[in-house]
This record gives sequence, structure tokens and C-alpha cells, in this order.
Amino acid sequence: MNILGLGMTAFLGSVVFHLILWRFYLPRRQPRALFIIFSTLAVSLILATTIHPLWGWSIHTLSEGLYFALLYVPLMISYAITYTAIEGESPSGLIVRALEKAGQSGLERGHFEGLITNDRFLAGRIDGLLESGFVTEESGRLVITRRGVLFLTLFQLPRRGLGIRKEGG
Amino acid sequence: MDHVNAQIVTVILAIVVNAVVQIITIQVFRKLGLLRTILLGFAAGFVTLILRLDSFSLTNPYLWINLISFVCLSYIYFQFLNIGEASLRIRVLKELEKAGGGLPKSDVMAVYSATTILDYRLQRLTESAEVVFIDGRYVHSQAKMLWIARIFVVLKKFVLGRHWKDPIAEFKPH
Repeated sequence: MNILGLGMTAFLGSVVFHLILWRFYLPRRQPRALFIIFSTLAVSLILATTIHPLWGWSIHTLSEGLYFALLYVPLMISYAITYTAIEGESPSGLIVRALEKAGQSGLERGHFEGLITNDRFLAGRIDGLLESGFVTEESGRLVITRRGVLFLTLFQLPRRGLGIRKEGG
Repeated sequence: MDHVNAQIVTVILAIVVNAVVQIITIQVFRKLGLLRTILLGFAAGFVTLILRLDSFSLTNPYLWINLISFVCLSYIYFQFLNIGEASLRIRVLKELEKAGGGLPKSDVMAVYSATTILDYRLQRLTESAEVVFIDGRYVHSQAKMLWIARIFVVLKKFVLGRHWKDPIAEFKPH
């Protein structure tokens, strides 16, 4: 029960803490802020229960530490991935919701142009890439950094390995 | 082997089986498509996980830890394969890598503009029959994508609260 209790307390505690914090202050780099909150809370809880076991919960061995990480890290990453979809708008989501609002008469292509805009979908993403250090701005040009190339390679490798060529956007 | 170590091996083995089955099925049965092979891989990994369990009691904490861990790792694997198809950030990075010496911001917008995104998404939604194109107008057809979009509206309201402005609230269809 040790590891399940510690892992779920740290995870749910981090979710509740960030939801309360977001009510008052929305960080500029939200995924990074989430990572800091989730990591800090987990490490603090482990240290606290080492000094004073909470309901008998504590991590005693390296194996238990690894097992805790195997529970907590995938939970944290899964939450962060889902959060990025909550944080940004989805073009497909907006299109189907606009069509629902329009009803049976539907919409012409031109109607979507005020909804799917560069400002809404590209400018924010480019700012995010600049802030993450994947792209840098040099003399008015956007240049991919080494970090950006590494990130891109990491995400393209499995698709290339599996022979998946379909691209999207 | 120590009981906790045996659980770690179980989860790692299940996710490896998941990936191996997915890789083999997509190579052998190309027509199945990415999503079906991901589901097959998940099913194989899940069976592996269940077969290695020593107790099916709902009060067995190892059952829950292994399940949560395996489901999350499978979700990460799915996103890892899927991101190249859906992510706008990845597409922008690809354009910049292709350009070598970089591109002015306006060129990035031109190469990969909102118009391109709109055309691509409308095509994808029409192909998947979520939307039908009749007499020059797009009409909503299936509810699957709409339900996903609705769930995200609820999540956005709950998580982002007053910081989120719904673009559809201001959208005037006619």
C-alpha cells in the first residue's frame, strides 16, 4: 500500500495544488510549471515520510524507489501530455463545434477563416518554441537550435522506424 | 526475486510486449493502420500484465500500481507515435530544419499557414465522415469528434477557468 498511497497522494496533491494556483495565477510556461510542481511535491513527500512515516508509508529500498518512479513518472508525463491539449486550441475541435453551432445549414469554407487564424494557431506555437529554446530568432529569422533538432529527431525516429510517412498539422 | 522487483519486471515486460506486437503488426499487416496496431499492442501488453499477476483481488495494491503504470506508459507510447501526425509544433520545426539557415517568421506563416491547417483538417474530417460536404457547404455528421471537443471544453473551463476565452462563444455562423 506504501507506494500506491504515496504515488497517488503526490499526484492528486499536485493536481489540486496546480488547479488552485491557476485560479489566481496562470504561469507563462505552464508545462514547465507543472513539472516543477509535480517533482517538488513528490520529492518533498518522500523526504517527509522518510523522516516521519505517514500512515506507515515510506520508501525503504532502492527497488521501492524504482517502483514508485515507475508509477509516478508515467502518471506525471501522461498528465502533462493531456494538459497541452487543454492549454491549446485544436483546429478540428473548433471546426466541429462551429458546425454544431451552425446547425443543418452548415458552413462554407470562408466562414472558418476568422476562426482558424495564424494568430490563434501558429503565433502561440512559435512563441512556445522560442521560449522552450527549440528555436531562436536571429536577425529576424527563425532558426532551429540543436535542442530543437534533437527534439524533432526524438519524435520522428519511431515514425521513421515504423515506416509511417503520413504528415499532418 | 524480491516481490517489488518482480512487479517492476512485469510492468516493463508488458510495455515491451505492447511495443513489439505493435511494431510487428504494422510491419506485417500494413493495411491495418496505425491506430489498430496500437490497440493490438495494448491488448497484448495487457494480457501479459494480467498473466503475471499473483492475485486478482481488488485490494491488491500491486494490481493497481501495475495497471496505472502500464496504461500511462501505453498512452505515452501512443502519443509518441501520433505526435508527428498531429502536432503543429513538430511541423514548424520540420519546416525550419528543411530550410537550413532558418526562415523569416512571415515565411513560416506562409509555408505553413492557417489556410493550410484549415484545408488539411477539413479534408481529414471529411475523410473520417465526421463532416460531410454538400453543395459547397460543410455540415456536421458524426458525434465522435464533437464529443471529444465537448469534453475538452469542460476540462478547459475547469482547469483554466477565467483565463480561457471560448472562441466559439464569439463565432457568428451566419
